[in-house]
Amino acid sequence: MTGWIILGVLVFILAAILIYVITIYNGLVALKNNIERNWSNIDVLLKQRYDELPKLIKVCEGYMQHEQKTLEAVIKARSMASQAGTDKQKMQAQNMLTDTLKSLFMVVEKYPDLKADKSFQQLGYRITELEDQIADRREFLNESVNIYNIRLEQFPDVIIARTFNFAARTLWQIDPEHRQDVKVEFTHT
Amino acid sequence: MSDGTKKIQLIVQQKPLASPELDSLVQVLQDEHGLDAYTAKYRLTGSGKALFGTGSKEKTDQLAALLRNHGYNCWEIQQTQVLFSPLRLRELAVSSDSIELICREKSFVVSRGSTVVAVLADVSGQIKERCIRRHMTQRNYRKAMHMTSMDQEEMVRSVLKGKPLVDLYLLDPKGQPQAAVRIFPGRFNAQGLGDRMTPSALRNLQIILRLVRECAGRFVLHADFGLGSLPGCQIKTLDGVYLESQEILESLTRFGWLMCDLEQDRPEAPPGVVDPALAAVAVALGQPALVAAVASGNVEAVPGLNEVVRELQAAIHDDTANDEKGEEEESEQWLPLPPERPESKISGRMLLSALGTFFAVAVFMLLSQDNTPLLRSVAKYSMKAGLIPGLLSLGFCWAGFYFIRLKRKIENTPTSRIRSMAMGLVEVHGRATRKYALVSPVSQSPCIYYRLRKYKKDSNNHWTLKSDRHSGHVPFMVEDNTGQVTVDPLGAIVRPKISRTGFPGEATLAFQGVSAEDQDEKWVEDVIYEGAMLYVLGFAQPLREKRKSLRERTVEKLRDLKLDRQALHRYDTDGDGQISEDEWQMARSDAEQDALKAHLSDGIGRKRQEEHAVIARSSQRSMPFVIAEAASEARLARNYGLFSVSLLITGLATAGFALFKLLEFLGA
Repeated sequence: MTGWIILGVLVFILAAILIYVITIYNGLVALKNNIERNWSNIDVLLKQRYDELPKLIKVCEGYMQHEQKTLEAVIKARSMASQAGTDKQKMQAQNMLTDTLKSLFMVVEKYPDLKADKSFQQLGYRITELEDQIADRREFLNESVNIYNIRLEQFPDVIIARTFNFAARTLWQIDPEHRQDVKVEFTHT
Repeated sequence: MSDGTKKIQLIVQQKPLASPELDSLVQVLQDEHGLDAYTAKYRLTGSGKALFGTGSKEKTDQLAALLRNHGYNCWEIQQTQVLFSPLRLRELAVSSDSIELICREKSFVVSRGSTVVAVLADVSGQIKERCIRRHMTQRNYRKAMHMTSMDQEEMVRSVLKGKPLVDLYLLDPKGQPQAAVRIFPGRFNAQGLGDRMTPSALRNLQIILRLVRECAGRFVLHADFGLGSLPGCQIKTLDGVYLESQEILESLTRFGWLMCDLEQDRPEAPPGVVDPALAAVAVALGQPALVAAVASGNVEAVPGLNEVVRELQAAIHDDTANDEKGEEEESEQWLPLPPERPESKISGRMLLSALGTFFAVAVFMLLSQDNTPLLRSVAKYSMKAGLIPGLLSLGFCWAGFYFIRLKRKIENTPTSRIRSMAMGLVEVHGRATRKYALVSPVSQSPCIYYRLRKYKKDSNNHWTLKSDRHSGHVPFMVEDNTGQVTVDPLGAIVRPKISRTGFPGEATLAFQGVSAEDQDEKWVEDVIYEGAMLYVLGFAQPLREKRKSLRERTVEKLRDLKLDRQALHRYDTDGDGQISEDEWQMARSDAEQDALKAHLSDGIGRKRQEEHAVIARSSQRSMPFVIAEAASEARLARNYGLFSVSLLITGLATAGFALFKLLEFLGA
């Protein structure tokens, strides 16, 4: 009888382990899909920013007659963003778009009438808000990737991950040139 | 006024609300001045005046400067001994330029230009209770940052509702009290008021105050007797017992003398400093005498000018006060009452569980009767064969794995910032704030969630649940440093940190002294107070859009344009009476521009997360929805982990027992 009980308990433990393995496997699948979802959530904001740009350009055109170069750069970056195929290309195009937008807002300083325009202020606010949200979601994506990568290396998840070939994901990275120190030069007059 | 050798008292006007600014001030007082933080906070919080500290002039100067920088009114004084008590007013005589206050042996005259300090006091002591009640009401029904103390007018009204009396102190030019009169309403001959006299004793008291205010050059009214914390000026003992009437009157006399001392530390306007608004009005009126007098600050020198200036000041300050009041009214945020509990909809799942429960209860009742041998034997053999322990084991295991999955979900979901929260399963951390004026039913405190269970003892002396109600239908807000979002807790697993037990008839929170054995009923209240740090794992979803989209606006503009022939005619550039494709493009472009402007001016681009998203239960029931008052996510996950492990161990033990029973039954 004792033998049967031991056998029964072992079966129970094995069943529990099996359910636990399934839970871990499902958890890893969920984490992997969450990363994809977080990528898409960034895309949603990028699309919103993309849609706001023609309005901004339209408002700026009336005032910035002499800044066609800057405006063209924004338009070019926007079209590059729309044509990007791979993740890497998308990231590069979006980083470029962010840079050109920064230049645009810097140039705006020279146009007080444009700065005072209500529509421009609201669009500027909206785009800045979107930029903040994009930055937050990039951090969020990195956190998701980080949790996933940690899970892949943790015991007992590592066994399931290796058995079912779950591969580590890369974090969102910025352009290497943005890591460099900002050069500040003072002109002595 | 005060030399360096004598001790100076620093008196401070308290403020009603403990705020982050107060915390920073208290920190400075503790770090730089070595004061006890708790005592400092206690003395600065309230509705009256308090003795903040006593020390050398140098020390009190430093503290006074610091307090004034943080917006506190304070005075540095040397307290004068009480030399005489106010005499009771018997009658009075009012003339055009003076008021004679006649007591039993003496009479005093309030002449034009004299300085009078008046104390309007409620000797019943009820003003303190009213003030506390007012703050409690504000705390319960308003947001904490909008709590305010009573202004002078409200305080006067409140005192007049109790047992009021007035002490008038006439000060000499050095600021020392030279006479004091105590006016008990209805206990003096009011005929001296002439035509102004009314049958109401309180009204007559108010008229006297008004006349003295109009007659005196400087009139200061204090109505906060009994509210602050001034030595010798209390109306209650330290044990909270009210003093005898005579002792309260003595306290009032000491308070009156102290208020006269405050007059000595009145900040004087430096020469050459002129009220700019008054100067501007004086210039606008084109009166050279008025302009010169206002500029020199010597309005007393010109006969009759004092009244003009006073009226002007009153008008200016009335306007300013009105403006401020308007702004204040705008900023006031009374919370709406909590919504009614929604009528519960019966889902298929609920129907199934109800049927299951009904079936289980019916079986149990049948088994408990003597005349059902078949069912009894089924139950007996189920137990003997280990079927019931087996089912229990399955239940424990299912619960154990459910909590393991929940633990992993909590660990695997990164925390979102509220401003950039995406729709779907999200985890947010933040401070809980109320959206509705929700107050916990027993402890009467502002909260975002409560659950109240009432138990009654049955015949076997066991507690049986009699009622269970909660505020799970009342949404609240969670706020982090980027924004705030609404949380609808309906259907959530809510884990409050605070749980209190008490018995009927007990005062709130004071339940420790009552023995549970003597009671037949008890209550258990679980509360999440406003301001608690919350962990929320739930499903973020958009609220229904009420405003029009840009596309809708454009379509609407074009539709209007089509109906307006005159407007349409403007785009007929070639004048052929027809709108060509190019002309229509132009019209469309203009309509888009107009719609964009309207869209932007509506501030749609500035919508905050709270306006378009809510965290609630997902329609997909497998999605977790947890609201927990937890110090950290890790601790919450650990608690769930330990709970699930204990459930699994119990499940294993029960399974072993079930197997043992089964084998025993089979005779193995």
